[in-house]
Amino acid sequence: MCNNTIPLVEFKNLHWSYGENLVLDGVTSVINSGEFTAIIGPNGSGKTTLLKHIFRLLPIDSGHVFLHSKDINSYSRKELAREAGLVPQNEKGLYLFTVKDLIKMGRYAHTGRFSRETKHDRDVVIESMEMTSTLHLQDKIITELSGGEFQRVIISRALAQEPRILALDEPTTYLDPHHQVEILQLLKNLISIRNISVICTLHDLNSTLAFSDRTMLLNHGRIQHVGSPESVITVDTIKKIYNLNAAIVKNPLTGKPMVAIDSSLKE
Amino acid sequence: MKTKEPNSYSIHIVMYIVLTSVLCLALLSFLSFGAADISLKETFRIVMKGLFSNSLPEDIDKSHVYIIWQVRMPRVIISILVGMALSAAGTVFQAIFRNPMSDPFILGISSGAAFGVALGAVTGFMVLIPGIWGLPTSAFAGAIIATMLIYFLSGKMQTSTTSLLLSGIAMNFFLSSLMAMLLYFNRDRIENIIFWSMGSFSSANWDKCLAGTPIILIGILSLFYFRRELDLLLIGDESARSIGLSLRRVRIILLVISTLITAAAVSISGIIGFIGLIIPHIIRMIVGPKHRIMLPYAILAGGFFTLCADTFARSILPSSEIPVGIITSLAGAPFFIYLLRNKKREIL
Ligand SMILES: Nc1ncnc2c1ncn2[C@@H]1O[C@H](COP(=O)(O)OP(=O)(O)O)[C@@H](O)[C@H]1O
Ligand SMILES: [Mg+2]
Repeated sequence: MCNNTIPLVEFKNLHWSYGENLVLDGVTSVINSGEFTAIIGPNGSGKTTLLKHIFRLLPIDSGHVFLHSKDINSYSRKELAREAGLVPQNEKGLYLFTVKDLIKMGRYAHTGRFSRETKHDRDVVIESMEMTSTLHLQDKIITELSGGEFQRVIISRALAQEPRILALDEPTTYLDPHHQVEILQLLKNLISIRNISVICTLHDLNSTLAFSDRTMLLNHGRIQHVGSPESVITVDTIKKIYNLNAAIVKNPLTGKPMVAIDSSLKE
Repeated sequence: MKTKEPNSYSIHIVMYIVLTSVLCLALLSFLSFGAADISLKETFRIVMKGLFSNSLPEDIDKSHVYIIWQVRMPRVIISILVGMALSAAGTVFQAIFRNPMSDPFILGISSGAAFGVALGAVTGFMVLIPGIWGLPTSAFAGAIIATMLIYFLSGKMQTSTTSLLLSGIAMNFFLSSLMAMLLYFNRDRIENIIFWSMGSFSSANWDKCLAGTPIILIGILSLFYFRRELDLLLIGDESARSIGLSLRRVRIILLVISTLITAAAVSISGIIGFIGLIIPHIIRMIVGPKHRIMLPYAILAGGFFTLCADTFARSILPSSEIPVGIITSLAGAPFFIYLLRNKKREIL
């Protein structure tokens, strides 16, 4: 998009290994504010690991992560939670909280131990539920929800943190096409209405083309390409990274580019 | 499983008051149970006179006053306190390990406390600490070592039920062999220690009550300070931290508090199993997992359950009594198996 956007998150030569397994091999990049940044890449390429580093969920091996130009290590956990909300991929939902109680947890970083829930707290929680159309679910028990409903509830909880950044780990992977579009559209709206910046890992190349402003392609823990989705998702990169034959065609409904994949896997 | 919670917190406040009153009434009436035949009416009179006036009317038997105030009163109070302690500790261990099968007894932490006491008694360490504090200090030392071992054995809080239960089993085996060894070399004290380690309130007295009460009450009250953190522990490490929880610090503080509560309970009454497993589980099924609401219920219910179990244990046989730990295990073991076979065992 425009060149003069403010860097929101900055990775500087970030390295991380799980034991012997080098997962992030010198990631240097910025994520701009006010944008929808998609992180794509094959399974095991380090997408989740990179997201975790924005939340200091892993100690940094070497390199730096900056948030608003401040080292991530200088934030307290609560400060971090007020800046950025996470929708993790692996939350299992094995608890009997009601939807409302779970979403209210997002207020944790904003409320003191002895202070009572304020009107603002209540408003934010209601608003978060309205934005994700989960208000009607508020008294339901988490274990009674469908996958799509649960995903929306977790997004509400992150929104209740009033974050400036929303990071989501494969939020659409297990959803049907309708719910996929619904969630991605919601993220788009959040950017324009709430001025939130979105960082989202995705597998679906067509969603990436349709929704992201900026795309980061990760492979073997390195950033291979970064730029507009059209510049990153090309016939060449699809061949090189995913070993698939593909063509970029025009979506007859939206006029945007889309990927057509050859299903025969031939060389 | 409907756990829909009434909108207003005041409904729960009313329920807490009602349940507390029921508990007090039960306490009063259970004072009349036991070997000496003291009627309910006489019991009430003795308690009221003891509370509100110094002089006793002539028609009350002095030995009955002694039995009520020096034998039965400390015992019922202690049984309630210990039940509250174990239920609260169970609730917290379940949150810390994010596993509904956690309980101070199953994890081996009660055994750790018991071993601490046995070792303290045998080595004479206990005598070094003045007054009534030797017992709880030894118990805490044993319990905290067991807690630390469980923490590392179970893979630093990985939540797999299997690994947690296996660590608990290993811990219990290990400690019971140590205990057996200790007893083998100290055969003269064997009967006392064995009876005590089976869990019993029969040696309850005001001294034990005085040592245990402040630790248990302060420990339990401090849990309310961490009610939101306890909730956050249930949703998973990464989610909780991304919401702003300083996970490691909170976990260690809560581990220490719940170990302290467990140790205080064990130092008073020996090992009483399963209360920390059954009560929090049932309460969570009824009112949901939110700690601000469920903790008071779990505490009250733990006290009530243990009071009933002990009253049963001391009055079912005409001339002797059964260790209360046997009663709670009789109720708890089938419940444990039910949980183990139930798919919902991973759900808190
Ligand atoms: N908890 C973990 N322990 C050990 N290795 C891990 C762990 N999580 C991920 N990995 C490894 O790190 C690499 C990158 O994983 P991840 O960041 O989850 O990739 P992605 O999200 O792109 O699929 C993989 O090789 C994976 O096996
Ligand atoms: Mg991933």
